Amino acid sequence: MSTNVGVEKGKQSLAVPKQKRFTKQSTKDNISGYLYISPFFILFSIFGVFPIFYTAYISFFKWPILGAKEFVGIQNYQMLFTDPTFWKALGNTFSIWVISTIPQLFLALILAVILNQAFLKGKQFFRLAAFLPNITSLVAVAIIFDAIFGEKYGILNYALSVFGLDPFNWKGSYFGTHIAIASMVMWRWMGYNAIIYLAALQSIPKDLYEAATIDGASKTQQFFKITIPMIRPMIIFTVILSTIGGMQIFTEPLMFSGGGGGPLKQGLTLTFYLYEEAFVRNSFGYASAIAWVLFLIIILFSIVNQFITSRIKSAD
Amino acid sequence: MKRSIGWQKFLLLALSLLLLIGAAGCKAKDTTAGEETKDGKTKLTIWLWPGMGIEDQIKQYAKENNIEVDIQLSEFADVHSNLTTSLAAGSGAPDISAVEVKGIDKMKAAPDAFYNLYDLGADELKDNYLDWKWKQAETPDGKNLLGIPTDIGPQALAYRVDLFEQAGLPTDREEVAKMLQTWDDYIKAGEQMKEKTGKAMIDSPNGIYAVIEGQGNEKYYDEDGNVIVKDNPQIKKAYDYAMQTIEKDLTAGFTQFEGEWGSGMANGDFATVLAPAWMQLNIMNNAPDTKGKWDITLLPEGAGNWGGSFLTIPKESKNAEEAYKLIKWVLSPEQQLETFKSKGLMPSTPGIYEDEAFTSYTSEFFNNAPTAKIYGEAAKQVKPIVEGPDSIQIEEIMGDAVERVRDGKATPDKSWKTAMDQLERELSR
Repeated sequence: MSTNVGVEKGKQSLAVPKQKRFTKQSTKDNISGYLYISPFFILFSIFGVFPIFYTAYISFFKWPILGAKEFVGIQNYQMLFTDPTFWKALGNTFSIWVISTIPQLFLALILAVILNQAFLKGKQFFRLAAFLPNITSLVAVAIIFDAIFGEKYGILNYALSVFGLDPFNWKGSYFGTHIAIASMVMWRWMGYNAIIYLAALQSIPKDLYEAATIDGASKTQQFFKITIPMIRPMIIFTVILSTIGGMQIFTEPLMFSGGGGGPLKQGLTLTFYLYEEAFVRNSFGYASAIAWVLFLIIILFSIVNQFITSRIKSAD
Repeated sequence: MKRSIGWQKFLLLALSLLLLIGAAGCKAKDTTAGEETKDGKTKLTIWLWPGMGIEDQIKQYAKENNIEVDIQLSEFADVHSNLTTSLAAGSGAPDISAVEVKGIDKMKAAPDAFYNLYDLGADELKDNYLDWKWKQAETPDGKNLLGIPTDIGPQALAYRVDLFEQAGLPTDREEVAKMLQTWDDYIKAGEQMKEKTGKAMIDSPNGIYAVIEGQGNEKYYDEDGNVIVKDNPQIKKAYDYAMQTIEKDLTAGFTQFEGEWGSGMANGDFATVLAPAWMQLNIMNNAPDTKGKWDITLLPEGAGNWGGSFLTIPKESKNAEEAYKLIKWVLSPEQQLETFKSKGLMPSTPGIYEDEAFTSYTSEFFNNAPTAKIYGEAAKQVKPIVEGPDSIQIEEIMGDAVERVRDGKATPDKSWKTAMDQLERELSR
């Protein structure tokens, strides 16, 4: 409120003609304050706010970008909800998210506990090694995984054949493709989450464990009764991050299943579908409609997250 | 006094913001068209996809004419979508971009985004090139020309002599051509191949699909620009033969142009590749060790055309004159003869088809086959086919349909129906 008053006063003083122009210190502070934060808001409104509303606007048009726009009302949205490819993409996104996130966070926690053990030698090395996948170029990762999951000359199928199993067509099935993409996500993000958990583990006071040991609690009991409750906020944090990342998964499926998401559209995720509609098929109106629906889905998810978060907090 | 310092600060802030934006602008400019290097040389940015085979010619021209070229390679489909996007955005397009025959129609819908090559003097070149190929890059009214033709893709059959011998099939290229009069003959030979050697006849069912669909008079569009995929008997025929190779287990099940496909080629997993002229380069690159084991002969039921491209100059280029000169030289009959000899690209300039230097050429890699004669013969059989704005998209949908059956995820009928439904939905957006 006080800032508004300051601006008002400044205006008034400018409006009076004969009076000697002066600006109060508080007004100056306000102006410089706004100036300091303005770069963010200017850039945000150009690259954030404007596209959001412009996307909403063009989602009511049929627009192949090299031609003219044609107003079609809500037709894009009507088509979207009856479009089996859209629902397939939504299903793929969730499927990949579930099979990548849940085991990933679980394994990351185990990894963090191992890295936190006192007996482990060369801790720095292992911590670095755990984090390394996260800074590897995604395209290079995808090419390697592509070679691992190849049907005829893939390492994985070779390993299966050693055990006398039939080769599996990873790229040509829903199951195989989702597993491959999920393993790429896991490989890349597990170490990252483990480092976050590790930081949380190290902030737990040692005396809690000492007290528990004296009271005769086993290691397992200590883990579930002390460790997990103490790092709960970090678990929530990683779940939220993984959710956002999982909803937006794009590069891995694009690199793994190629244009269109494969013959069954088994690798087609929502952002991938959006990209294909906009930049391959040039249906910008339709792509904008997808973008908005995706936006609403993420909002819905955030609300669910919020709900779960508050429940976990109240359990304390 | 105090106030003026405030203004100075404000100016400083504004200036630093400007610098920031300016710096960002400079960075972006680095990749876009129409630039000069520090020493005043003209610099041309050129977009191609891998395997086009004209990079050497471009570099040679740049060296001889003291200009700088920046060749940027992207995947085939990406070149087209990047070009569309940057043209619509009005920035980011290169000085020269390759556009394939299936993509040129989409660009023809926006002729203003490109330099009209007739304005740059392309009229004088017209007689050098195949008429049907030239017309593909012309707007329907014939006033605008978007691109100069690179190579064409007349089709032939590349086969492994050693595998044919093991299967007890004839190995001489004349006899092979005589044996394979129809696609049914080809299937029959494939069954013999499978029975005797256990090897696949063909790399991928998509190969036979793409070749047969190109043998008809029409493909996806009729002359009036209507989509006729559903009712075109040639498409159905191509699809049915692809299904036959799957049912009879004659394919190696690769996806063309993927990494594993190359490994399979090098390992001799399949006996034939249905090969447009430019496919020779793919074979040579993927399986250099198989030199001399391949031979080339005519296809069953005559040749169609698969692929072949154009070089275009987007309007954003500030060096259109220079770009045109480069294109004119690189795609001249003399240089197309060079790229034919080194890369197997079939020239789009019929003048040299009768040239002794051309006809006498034999390819060492392909068992000294007279590839010039074979592809020259094939080029004569090619009928010009009308493409449309969504050709690339349709090709992908049909390719997926074949792959679904190959992977055992759908019956032929069901997969066909899925593709037709998808076509209807996607083309209406």
